[in-house]
Amino acid sequence: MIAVVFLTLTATFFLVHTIRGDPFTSKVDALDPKTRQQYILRYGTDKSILEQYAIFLRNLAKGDLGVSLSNNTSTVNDVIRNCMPSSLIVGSISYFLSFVLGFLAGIVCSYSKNKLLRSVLITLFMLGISIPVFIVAPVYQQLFSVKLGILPASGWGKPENLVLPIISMIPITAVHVFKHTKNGIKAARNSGYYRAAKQRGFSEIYIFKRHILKNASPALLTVIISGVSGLFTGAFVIEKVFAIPGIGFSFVTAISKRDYPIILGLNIAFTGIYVIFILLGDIIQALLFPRFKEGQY
Amino acid sequence: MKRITTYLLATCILLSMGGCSTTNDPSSASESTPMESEEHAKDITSSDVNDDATSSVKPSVLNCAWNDEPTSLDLIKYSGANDLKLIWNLYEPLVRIENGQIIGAGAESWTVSDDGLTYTFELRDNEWSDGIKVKAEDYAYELKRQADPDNMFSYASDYFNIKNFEAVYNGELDKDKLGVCAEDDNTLVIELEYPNTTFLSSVELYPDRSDIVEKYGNDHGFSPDTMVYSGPFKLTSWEHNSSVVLEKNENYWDAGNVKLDSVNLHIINDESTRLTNFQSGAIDYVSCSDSDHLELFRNSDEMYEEHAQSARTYMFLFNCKNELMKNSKIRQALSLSINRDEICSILDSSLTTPAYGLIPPATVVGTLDYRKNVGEPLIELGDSVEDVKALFTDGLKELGISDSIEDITITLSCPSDSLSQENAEYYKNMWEKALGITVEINMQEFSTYKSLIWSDEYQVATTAWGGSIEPRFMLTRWLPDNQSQWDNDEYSKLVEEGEQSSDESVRLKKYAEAEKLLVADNAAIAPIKYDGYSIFYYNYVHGAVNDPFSNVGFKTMYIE
Repeated sequence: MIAVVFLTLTATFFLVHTIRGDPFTSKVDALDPKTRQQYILRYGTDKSILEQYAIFLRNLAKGDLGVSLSNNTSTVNDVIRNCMPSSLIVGSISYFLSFVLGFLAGIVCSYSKNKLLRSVLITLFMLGISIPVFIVAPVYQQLFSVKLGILPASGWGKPENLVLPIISMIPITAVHVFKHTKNGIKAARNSGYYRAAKQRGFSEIYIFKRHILKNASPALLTVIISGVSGLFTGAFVIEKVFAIPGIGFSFVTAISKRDYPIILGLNIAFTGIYVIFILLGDIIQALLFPRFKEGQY
Repeated sequence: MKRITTYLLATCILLSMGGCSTTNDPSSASESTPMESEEHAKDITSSDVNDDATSSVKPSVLNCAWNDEPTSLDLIKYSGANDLKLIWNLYEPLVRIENGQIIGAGAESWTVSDDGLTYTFELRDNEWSDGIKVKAEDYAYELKRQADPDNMFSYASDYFNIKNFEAVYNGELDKDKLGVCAEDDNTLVIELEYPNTTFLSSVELYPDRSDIVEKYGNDHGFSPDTMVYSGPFKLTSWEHNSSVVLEKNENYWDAGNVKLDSVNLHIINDESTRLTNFQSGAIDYVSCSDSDHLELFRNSDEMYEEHAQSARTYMFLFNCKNELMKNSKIRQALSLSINRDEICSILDSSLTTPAYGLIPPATVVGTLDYRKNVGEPLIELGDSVEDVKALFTDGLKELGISDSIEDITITLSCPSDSLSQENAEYYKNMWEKALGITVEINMQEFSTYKSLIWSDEYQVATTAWGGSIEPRFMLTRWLPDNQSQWDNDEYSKLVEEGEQSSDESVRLKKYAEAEKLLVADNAAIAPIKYDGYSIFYYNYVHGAVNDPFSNVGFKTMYIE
């Protein structure tokens, strides 16, 4: 696990230093050559890349991730502290709702005998995934903020600021949950145990609760867990369009400003979170569904 | 059809969200901070604006949007226009520029010695926001701090006119040798290296407090509680990447003339989101160059439009070390074969103006308006050239290239954002049509692009430079080691002579000759257009100063 973090970190370090451009060219249009030289000396960007890498590792071992090169004041910790909560709030609410919606819609779609309802649901979810967020979001803003005047178009700090980002984000995960639920139920209903249970006269609800849910859960759990890490890394487009001070937006901005310490620091954080969640997922699966361990699924 | 479907989808999803309606409880908005201009939003939608005569009790709040977060408000660390625009409101410079006039701000009056080398300022009675008097020493302290090489002040070279600034900055002299001295609490003396009649309009001199700077160290200027304020406003909140709130500074010497109680700056990076916020009334004014929105806003009687110039010139850079671009005839032919009128009217909805010179309108030399006194050099050159294609072919011959003009391919580099891309496609078509050459477009991510245009690896590239009040700043961008990789001794001499002359007509003449050399005779660059944009204000917003060189900030704005 530590090896994964370390390898990602090393790869990122060399990648960001090989892309063209540096933090000081992006900073001021007409930076005096002497000042520029001072910056380069202070931040050691004139040293060979291996030397810089060694310095970086040495500081990392001391727990020092460095200070932002674009404002010389905020540290990586400041950036995480300032930006993580907003990404987490928007991410977790929309994630929870999209799971509930996707799951319920998946069940309804599988069991409903109304063909129209099924088609409507499938169409809605297809639209949800095929219309990109950067198109949907401005439409919502026009509708709810300009035409109806009931919600702010963007901003942060008040509950109503959450509504539009969340409804824009829901389809992204809901579609996957919907699809997996629907397919899981469909597969289960084609299986031998379903027919056997049916023949023994158990009700649909009983079979669903006792058998289908149990069998479809591992696949769903994978979807859930792989999505959770996304909550911490933020959604760049959503954060940009709705002016949310989140971590995804900070990350992309740091890359465009070539703010190496911030890029690398966030990268460590993201990789760490991701690895932890994958590990957690494996543990939960092993505990809940012991069959997995034995490879019998 | 697509729009109807998305509206339908939006409604469905919203309805399905009924379960979480607590997040959308309108009652919770009543106890909100003054972040959104709810009162204005309502004013616009209701017709009885004037019936609401009780508005005198209401605090006067201005809401506006900026595209990016300020980086730092420490006077040695700031970089970029957004930082400076806030600094104008928070610190009191010695003098301010308002519509081309130099007016006393922190200084009540000043005298200049006969040799033009010594400026003596008499300060006003002004107080910091914590009630301590603003002293001459505070101004001297900040200037010494900016000269200190350890502080790596990004704009230091603008201050080299001050005696010993350059030597101190290069570490050759101690900072006590800097040509600044506080004679007493109210008298500040600044000495210059050489006489410069534009000194007061070319540098901004701010005070800061040594006790505060030392107390907060590296955190100074990054949050409201690490600073004190001498300007018309004080910073009361800074939610990074989200919002900045300014409130009126009651200790400010001219507080009686500051009409706004507070200003909310919303940081909104996305242009379409800024425009939507303006439409919904959440912000009170917005700058706009999008043609669809221009039409929409112009048709509304709730708002008015002001055209603003930003004193920026868009241009092509030619890499004069490139095999093909080292020939000036080829560069001239490329410069003359684009239709600038068409570019401005079609690409920019006529908000920009065609540029046949480098120095943008609004630039002055002393009391003389530069562009009114100096004809644009490319117009003259254009009149003397009949066939641009022949000019290009002549250039090829001079280089000893035997290929026909149709076989020539040039590469135009531009940043990869959609606007630059759209413009580049347009330029490509113009050149291909006018000259018969082939143009390839090389798009690069912005930081990569910036580094590319400072190297000699590009052929032709687009860029823009903003000027300052006198032509000097823009012209000095093409002294040796410039983006065009162009080196011309005569040009350097002209710029230097202009810079050091105290006679404005001599200065004007030298600058005009230098501009002609750069833009027409040598065509190291090809100016395209002078930047311009529209600002839309709701009818209740007044008093904004949009002159590109003014630094009055929000002080003159009011809501009525």
